Amino acid sequence: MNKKPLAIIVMAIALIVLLSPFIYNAFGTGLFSKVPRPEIKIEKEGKCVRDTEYMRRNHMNILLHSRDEAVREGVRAKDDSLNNCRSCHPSRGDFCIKCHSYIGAKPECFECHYYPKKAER
Amino acid sequence: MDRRAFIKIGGALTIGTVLGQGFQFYQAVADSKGEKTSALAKNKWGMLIDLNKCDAGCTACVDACRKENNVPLFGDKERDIHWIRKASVKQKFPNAREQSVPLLCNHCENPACVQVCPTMASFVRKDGIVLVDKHRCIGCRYCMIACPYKARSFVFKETHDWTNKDVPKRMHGVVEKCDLCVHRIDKGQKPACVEACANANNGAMVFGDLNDPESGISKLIANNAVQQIRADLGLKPKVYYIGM
Amino acid sequence: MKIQFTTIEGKSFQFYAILVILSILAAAGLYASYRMFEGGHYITGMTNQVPWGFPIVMAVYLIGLSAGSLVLSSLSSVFGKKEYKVFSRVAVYLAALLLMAGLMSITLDWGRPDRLMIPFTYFNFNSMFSWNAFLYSAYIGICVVYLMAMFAEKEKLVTFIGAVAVIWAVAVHSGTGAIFGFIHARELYHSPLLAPSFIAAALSSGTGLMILILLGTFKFTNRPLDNRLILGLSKLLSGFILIVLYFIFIENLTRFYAFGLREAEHYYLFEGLHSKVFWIGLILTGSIIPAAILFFPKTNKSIPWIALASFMVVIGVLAERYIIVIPAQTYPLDQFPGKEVSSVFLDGAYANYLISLPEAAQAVGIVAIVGIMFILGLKLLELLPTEAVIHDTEKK
Repeated sequence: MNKKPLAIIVMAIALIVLLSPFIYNAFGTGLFSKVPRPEIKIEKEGKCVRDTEYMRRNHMNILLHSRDEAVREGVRAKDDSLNNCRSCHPSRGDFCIKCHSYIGAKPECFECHYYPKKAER
Repeated sequence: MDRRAFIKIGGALTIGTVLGQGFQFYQAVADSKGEKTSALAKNKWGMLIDLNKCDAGCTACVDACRKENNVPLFGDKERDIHWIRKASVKQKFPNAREQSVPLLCNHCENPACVQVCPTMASFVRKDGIVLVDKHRCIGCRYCMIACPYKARSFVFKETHDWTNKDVPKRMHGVVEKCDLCVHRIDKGQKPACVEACANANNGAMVFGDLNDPESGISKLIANNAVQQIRADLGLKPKVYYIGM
Repeated sequence: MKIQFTTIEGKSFQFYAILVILSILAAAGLYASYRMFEGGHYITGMTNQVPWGFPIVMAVYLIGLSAGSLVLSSLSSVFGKKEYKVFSRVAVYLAALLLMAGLMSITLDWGRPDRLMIPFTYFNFNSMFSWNAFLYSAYIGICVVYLMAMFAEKEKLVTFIGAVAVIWAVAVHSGTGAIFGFIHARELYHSPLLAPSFIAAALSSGTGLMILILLGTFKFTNRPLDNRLILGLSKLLSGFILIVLYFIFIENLTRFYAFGLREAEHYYLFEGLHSKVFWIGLILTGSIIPAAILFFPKTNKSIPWIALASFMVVIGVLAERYIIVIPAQTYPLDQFPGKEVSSVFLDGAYANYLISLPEAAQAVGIVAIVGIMFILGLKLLELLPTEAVIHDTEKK
């Protein structure tokens, strides 16, 4: 019994299922037009702890590094801490969540750590 | 499958397994060697509790701890989280005197919990505080099995109490315990329970540096009949008791 | 004479019916695990007094079955019992499946199963769990290579890997025993005997399961099965039952003799729910009745009786795992030897543990997944011989 046609059909279906998010985004409602690029509001203009370009790509690494240093070595670097982010970006809703929901990243930091969704003032 | 294909795939699998595991070992060794020496290493924090001064009806230390560290009560006795608790202890003898003993993590020098932790989420900080890295804990609860002091609690349920926003609240699925208020120690303050005990005019709890022979706690330990809980297990607990 | 291994046809109504039933059970189990992961472990019977519940019992049990199965598969290749070659492939395949099921039971019990890779990236040399992560992952690799060597019919390679596999199975299950045996804090765990007695229980439950699997699959697929094969295995089983009993006897006698441990031992043997599991589950169902069946001349040659005895052993070893894991936790920690303690954290109080519905559903689901993978394996891989008959000429 030749099973080849069946196998090809199954593989094709699997491939379509796997690629469905990309297909949906590309052809479903026009190329990448489904979700608009988020507008980011920065409360206190000025210099961040690193360049903007570096921060965009590497803020999570800075936070992870300072997290491990703080927890395991007791080095509480003030600049690189989550609390220091809040001094210029007082609310998570206007800053973190916008990009994170745009790219679908779900950091767990705020399940336990305090960072208000709306600015408290 | 012919012989050659079999040998190729089998060989690749074996080599892959061996290399993968070998790399793990290498990394683990490198990790343990690359530890930084830090300023913390000069201190060794410990605690002394004078039971003669401890009032049986007073729960100042427990309340302060709950408030400072957001330690939640679920109203379910078997699953509540306790960082410090007061136990009543008495001899098995008719009309024996009941003694109220605050029990907390002993911050052992040879902690059984750290020994068994598969991910090194439980670790001893350089200044002798035994901590749980909740970012790394997988919630296997082996440490709770290994600890002879019942110092650890599992977070069975997510909590929302948040009295002190400087300290995280809880998400379920990790193990936690007394951290000797490490965030306060790093600021040069004393643990919340010690402060509360002094404010309640008991002063039964003394916190200090065991490395420094001139510190208050070292002098008290040197000049009193002190006891540790289950010292026979060889874990070298750093919480001492007077009058037990 | 060469043994022909073929796949089963797997087109009958019963075949699909079994698959559907097992899939429903598996889905229910996974849903229970999801609830534990999403909502928290408060829905289980586990507490801060008993942090390890039924999932750990199941994990230890499944890993034991796996180790026993792998040792049995090597009877023909390593120990020269050629007549047992007929089930060596099935045994290795089952060993790999059961170990993965055991690991699944452990990881789904974690508070944070999403952090699955962390134990592999941070290695603690002092932790038995870390060592087991290494032993288990290599074990699965060995099973796969072993199975491939068998498919390729390479006698010498099979013998070599078989020897490695036996050693590794013993190491793996000793490691599992050491998880408990190394714990100094709890007097009912701390024992050097746990590692060897785990292996004895693994062999007895593995043999019992193999008898049941052989009888079941050969009957279901209408392939001839020689009774002498089952009789041989049942002799092994009767021996293993006695070894398990011996270990239990020595361990409890030692604890009973020491005055300091007598209170704990009294609790272990005569108080609480677990003591009933001990006497009825392990001693009566798991040891005495099957041993009687297998030694009594009127029943020890009858296949239905042997099947019953095997089934009882398989259940009895589950009871053994339960009474190893649970009572050591429900018995209070001795923080103040010789004194009475009480507190809001239930210090000094006997704890209760009852298996909750999610834990039971998860356990059944995991066993169902093993079942699905097993019958799919029979359909897709050449695991089962066309006939399992001992040829008298072969033996000479």
